[in-house]
Amino acid sequence: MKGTTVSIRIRLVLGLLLCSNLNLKCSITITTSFPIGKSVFDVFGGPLNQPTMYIGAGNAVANNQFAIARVNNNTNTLQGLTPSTIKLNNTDNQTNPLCGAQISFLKLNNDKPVALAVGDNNIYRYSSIIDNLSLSSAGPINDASGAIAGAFLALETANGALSQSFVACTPNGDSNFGGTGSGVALFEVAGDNYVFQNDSKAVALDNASSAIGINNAVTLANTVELHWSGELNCLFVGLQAQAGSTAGNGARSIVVGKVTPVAGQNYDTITFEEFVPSSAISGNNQIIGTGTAGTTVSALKIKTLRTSTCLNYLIVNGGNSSASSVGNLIYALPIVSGNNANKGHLATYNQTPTDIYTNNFFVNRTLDTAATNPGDLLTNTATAAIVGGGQLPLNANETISDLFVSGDSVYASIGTTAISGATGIFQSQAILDQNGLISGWTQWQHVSGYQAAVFGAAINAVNGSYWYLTGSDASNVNAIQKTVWSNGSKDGLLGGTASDASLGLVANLSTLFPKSAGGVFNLVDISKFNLALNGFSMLIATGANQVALINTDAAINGDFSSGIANSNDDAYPVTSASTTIARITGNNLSTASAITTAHIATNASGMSWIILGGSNGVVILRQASGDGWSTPLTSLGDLDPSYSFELFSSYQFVQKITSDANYLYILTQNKLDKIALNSANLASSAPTITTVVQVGELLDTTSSNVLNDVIITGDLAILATSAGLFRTSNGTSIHDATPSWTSVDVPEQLVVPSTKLIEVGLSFSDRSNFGLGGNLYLVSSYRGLQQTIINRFYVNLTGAIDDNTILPLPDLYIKNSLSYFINFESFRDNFFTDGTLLINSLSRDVNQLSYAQVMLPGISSGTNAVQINKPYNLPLLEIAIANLVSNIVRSTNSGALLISGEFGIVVNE
Amino acid sequence: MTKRILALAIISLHLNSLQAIFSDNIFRLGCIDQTIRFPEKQRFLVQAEGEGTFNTIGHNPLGEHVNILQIWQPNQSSLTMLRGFASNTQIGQLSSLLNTANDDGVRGHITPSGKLTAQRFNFVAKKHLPFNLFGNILIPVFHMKLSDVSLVDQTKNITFTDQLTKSNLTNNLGAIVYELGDGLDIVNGWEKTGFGDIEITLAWQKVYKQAKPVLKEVLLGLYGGLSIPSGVRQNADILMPIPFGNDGSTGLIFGGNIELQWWHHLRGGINTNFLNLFGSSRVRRIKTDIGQTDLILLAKTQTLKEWGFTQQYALYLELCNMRDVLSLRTSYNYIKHNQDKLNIFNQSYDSAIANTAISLQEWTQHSAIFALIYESNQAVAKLFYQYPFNGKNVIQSNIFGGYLGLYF
Repeated sequence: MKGTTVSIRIRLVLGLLLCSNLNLKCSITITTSFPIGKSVFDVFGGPLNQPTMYIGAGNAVANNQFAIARVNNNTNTLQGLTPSTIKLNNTDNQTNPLCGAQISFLKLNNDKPVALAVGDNNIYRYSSIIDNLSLSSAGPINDASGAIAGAFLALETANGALSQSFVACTPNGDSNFGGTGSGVALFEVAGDNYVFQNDSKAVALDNASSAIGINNAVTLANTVELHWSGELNCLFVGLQAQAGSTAGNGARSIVVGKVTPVAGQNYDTITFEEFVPSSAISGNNQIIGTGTAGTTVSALKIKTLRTSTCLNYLIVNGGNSSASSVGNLIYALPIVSGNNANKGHLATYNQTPTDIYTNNFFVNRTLDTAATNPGDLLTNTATAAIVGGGQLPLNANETISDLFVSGDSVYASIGTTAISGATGIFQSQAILDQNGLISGWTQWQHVSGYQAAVFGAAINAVNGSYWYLTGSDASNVNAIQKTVWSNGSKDGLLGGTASDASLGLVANLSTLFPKSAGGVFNLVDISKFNLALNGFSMLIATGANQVALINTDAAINGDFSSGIANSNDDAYPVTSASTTIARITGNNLSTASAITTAHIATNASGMSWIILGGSNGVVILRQASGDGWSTPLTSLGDLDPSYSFELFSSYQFVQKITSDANYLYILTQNKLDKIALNSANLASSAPTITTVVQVGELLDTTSSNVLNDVIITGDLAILATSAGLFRTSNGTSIHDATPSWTSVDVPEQLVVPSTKLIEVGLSFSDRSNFGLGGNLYLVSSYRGLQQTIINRFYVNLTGAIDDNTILPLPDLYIKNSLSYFINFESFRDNFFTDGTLLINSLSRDVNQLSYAQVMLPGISSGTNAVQINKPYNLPLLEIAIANLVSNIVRSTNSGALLISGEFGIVVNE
Repeated sequence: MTKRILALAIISLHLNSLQAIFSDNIFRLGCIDQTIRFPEKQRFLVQAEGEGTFNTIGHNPLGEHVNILQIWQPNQSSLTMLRGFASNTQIGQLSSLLNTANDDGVRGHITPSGKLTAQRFNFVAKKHLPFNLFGNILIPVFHMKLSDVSLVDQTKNITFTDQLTKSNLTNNLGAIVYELGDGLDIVNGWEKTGFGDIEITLAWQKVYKQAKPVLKEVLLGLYGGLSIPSGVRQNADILMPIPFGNDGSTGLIFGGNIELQWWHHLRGGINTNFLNLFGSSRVRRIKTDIGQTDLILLAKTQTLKEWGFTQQYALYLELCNMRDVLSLRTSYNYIKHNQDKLNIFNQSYDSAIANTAISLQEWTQHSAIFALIYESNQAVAKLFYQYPFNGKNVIQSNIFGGYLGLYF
């Protein structure tokens, strides 16, 4: 026992020492003396074994030894990779052709940079970047006719034994793409040499290519994008193509390339194939193709995404028009991933995927059927295709600065736009259906906590850190920034001003919600798309006998202190538009006691109330008449002291408060109440309350069971109970006088108590949208046996509730046996997902210290426990010594990730 | 020489007072002093002993002084008490209700305290046999009382889970434990009287006179025998259940002693005693979660307990032959009991978890004994005081007692 105690103490001390060092850090900035042109991020770090960002100089600067440079996750310093002399093509001390150069394209090939420089016809690839730098070159890069190419428009690389590189080039003497001689040059590593393939000629891809045009040649623009999918072994070429002018002419914006050996030769070539056959193209709304003469289809940026259900999609920035009209659109299209001749081609969007097993163990899932008819294609109005559910918040003639994918999410960074507040990094998460196909996308939302211009970005999905390039404009990008998990000290965001951390939200919340009072019991984000708000998002922090309403937009340069308004009589304090925090205490809030739930309810008339639930009651922010506010709030200054928190009825241990247009729902441990959402009823001393269900009334439950969570969307109610998951029965409604309930089968439910429901819906504006196609993450956790599993469901409430309203996602391990998505094999308190990051936490329990951890990236159906149990533990002292980690939430305002608890909050920004 | 070897080979009948496995020094060595010389002309000794405890305290795993109900943990966790059971059981349903309540070291913890008193009576009969052999029988009787039981809830009243825990668990802990724990009463003390385990031993003892200037005598003794499980067994449904013996296990006891006498008035010696118990199978309370504390275990199941080996050593120095019949003895006693092990015959529970119980871990006792001994050819008597000064995972009392034995 003594030994155990000592061991725990030693671990704690070591942990604190480690954390105390890291806690000093907030967001990290590395600046350069020259503009940055290109960047590429290596998540897993390759030989350096550290996430690393490589940058290329945006201007030629004589003797710039940082023309290509890198910064890795540990050092946070820039390391130049272009000394004046270098080992070049196996010869030491050669003049470095990249030193001082302007880097026009930069990629990584097996973790080594590959670059093109302005004014240089060669391609360069680092063959060593660890101890001694060495460089290989190949070239000059010839066009499809064998003459030196006119210009280079795109670069892509493929990892693997051959380490291929692809360069899109224009014909000799011509800077425009499309004419004869245009094509894609292929280079491969052969031993110590970097070798031009295809007989030292680019592989032709031009206006006349049959894989692009339909019934005629097309007119290609200089917009060429290359993307290699290692999973599919395909090169995707994104183009802007205008169809011929004759009726029946059409065009495609995507071509698939496959590297194949040339018979009788010792080199490879690229075989370009139709991404989609001509027969499938009809009209001008199919995103990557047009069957309308004279129209244009564009693919400005392309990536591939592999969903957590193991299906492949092509992500396309562009659509059915010229680049100047579709810059703000991003689509997702299914790709054939089965091992057949159509691999890499556009797949029929509504097919049933094929599960692949080895020895009856699930190993993969594929789409096998290529689209051949117009009806097989998603159109540009299809919910499943439109990433973000609509346009990015920039004008159609503007362009995103970067596009990247991670997990189930697509990210776009915006650096230059005329729209106010639209810069930064935006994310959308795929919603998956019961077959594993993408059925929709969440609304675009800010991530990273940084809302200024971003000119290149990436996410380190291992620890949740965002890396991004910033500068005054696209020509003056001179800073690499990355977010870190910390107290945000002096970061000018939530961590205070650049000179005073105590002014920040982090410091203020730790003061307002001190550890001695238990800290922050819950942190709830109310999106700016909520019906009760207009243009700002509200954070609600709850604690012992008090609540704080927070407007992060109102803080100037991280100063929250100057905008704090206090009230100690339950009334809303005197506030203004610049109020950052409205903190309210009082007798009624004290009666509610430990406040853990917060909700803004808006009824059909547009009247809204803030409703809080605690261990000993429910309070509603209302006027004496019972009225809430009717005009959506634009700031915390829109309410006044005529509003106060008043006790509502008598409740104990409130688990959840939610609402729809007509009713307020209050869930306690043993019942779900439905309350007419109107002023008179909320202000009544004897309000009309209908108990919808009591715990013992559900099938196979007893009065000893517990109701833990509820979601109400349309007619559908989903109840998580200690006896499992329930929903309103087929053909019934939660609005019925006496709703009936049925249990929901949870695949391989090792853990019976259903404890939390996490919804991923199409929109943040209205919870009822969740039922129109959303993913439900069910957390089943039971401390009694140290268990937690996550099951996923697709919820699609079209029409009346039926057996298909809630269907499990195809997560499985054993053939034909649906299962859970994640089995932690131990207990967790909280779970968060944004499609990329899977974050979970545990509050201190017995000898286990509190922690929050980011799970290993890439967890998908069938991922084994070994991978699941390789998390990244956030090295934060605040969390380690806390007794409570209460929630993990994203601020929809800034996009910063926040973790609340006894310590207040910590941030990732 | 042959006689000596023969004599050594025969496990001699002798009294051994190490007769119970519970970590309380009321169960200790020294009730009958095996160094007392049996008058050659006497054949029988009948002896009665009485002793009582005062200032009883506990020593925790770190050796610190604690209340007797805190020897294994400073407080008891009522939250972890509910763990290790399927969620559809009665216990599991309460555990599900409290699923959000983490054990932060305070929430759900109760600090127990109580007062333990004990009296012990030993009845001994000893028969002098040929070849310096002795046959002995010991019949102990105990009376123990646990009183003034107090359970103080440490749970704060700040957070949601604090209040949830108070409302659903600690405010009514006694009744909940009684119901869920199949009759486990942690609220009330207890009082009981009964026999301990009877011991029958065969000892060999002989004094070797030494014709030396300083060293005058050497006394050698060996003994062995059986501990018969006649004592009151552990009642698993009471707080800090103490058996009056080896809890139903038969034991093999053996040991020996050597005593040297210098000049006429000074003796010193060492006694060794060993106890090896045979495993016993019965229903016991077990841990079902590694975080549980030992006083409030809800699960009862059939177990086979493999007892740890017990060894006891006593060093003493004695002023003897004062007025020919009186001696003053100072002893240092050390007892160490190795870790016990539970084997569980129930698939619902995990032996590895059950064996993390601190109450199954090794325990030790250190004490000093001061005795005034009267020895004559007609009687033997002793008054003693035992002062415990150190230990680990044990209850230790100051003990005052004495005995009177008559030879026939």
